[in-house]
Amino acid sequence: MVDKAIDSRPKKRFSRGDLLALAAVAAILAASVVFLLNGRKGNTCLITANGSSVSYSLSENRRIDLVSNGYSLTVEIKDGQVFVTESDCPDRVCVRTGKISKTGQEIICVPAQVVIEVTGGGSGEDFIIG
Amino acid sequence: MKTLSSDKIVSRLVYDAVFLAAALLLSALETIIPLSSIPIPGFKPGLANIAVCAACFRYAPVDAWSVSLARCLIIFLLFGNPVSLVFSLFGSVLSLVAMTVLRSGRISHHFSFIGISVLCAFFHNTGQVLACVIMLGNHAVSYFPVLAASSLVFGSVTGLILNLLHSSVIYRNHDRLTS
Repeated sequence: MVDKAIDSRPKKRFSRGDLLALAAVAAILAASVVFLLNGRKGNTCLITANGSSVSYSLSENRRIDLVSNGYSLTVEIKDGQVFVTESDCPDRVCVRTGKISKTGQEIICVPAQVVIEVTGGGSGEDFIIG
Repeated sequence: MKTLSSDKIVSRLVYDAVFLAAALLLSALETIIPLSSIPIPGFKPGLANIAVCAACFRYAPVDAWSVSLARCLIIFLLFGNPVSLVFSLFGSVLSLVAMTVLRSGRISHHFSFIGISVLCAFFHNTGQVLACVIMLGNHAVSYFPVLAASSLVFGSVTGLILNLLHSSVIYRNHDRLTS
């Protein structure tokens, strides 16, 4: 009976089973990285200007000229990313924000009251419980 | 007159109490080392798992459950942080389920404590990410890869320590217990 107890003990040294366990966790780690990086890329963007919103697909390269609140902006969609190329707003924050492509990311121009938000993609919505 | 079986029961109780004290001390130790100041929730070396695994494999899963849950409760009573309690409970319960499965089947002899510890750490961290997602929303899943990596690293360290303690602590005089 003592032998049976000793047989079911874990080994004292690193063994094949450990390697299997480590490999399994590493595989899950790799899969989660791939899933999280890809799944959150948005496929559409919502541009809100002058109080109305229009949705554009990010898969088609496009150039959009906006006039909103007295300011004119040029928005470009290229290679799945959206960014503001030109703007005559005072501080140009929108241009400096750079390129966005992931769901939930936004470019906001406060003087022009323009919001560009990436939507769609695999990540789904936020929800808050409570 | 003391019978052998009552000696064993007392010995087991004392061992479990010491394992609990060790788990609490190891948790306290983690607050001192600078590693745990990285602001990722649950990025801890998980040293208390050493004591929990030791209790599990020396005796039975019920000892591990007792030590682990008692530790969570005591830390909550001492520091009174309900969010922390929820995180600890989620992580601990999932980790204990994994530990119970590993202990009960005929599979524990394929591993050394390194594999067991990595799996326990992985499930512990996954439980905490789950708690994070429930409390803070879906975007908390972005913590998962970092915590999975940390479970790989810290689990190996913890497992290595357990391997070193194999004969001296975990299975010390163990033959007398099972005969």
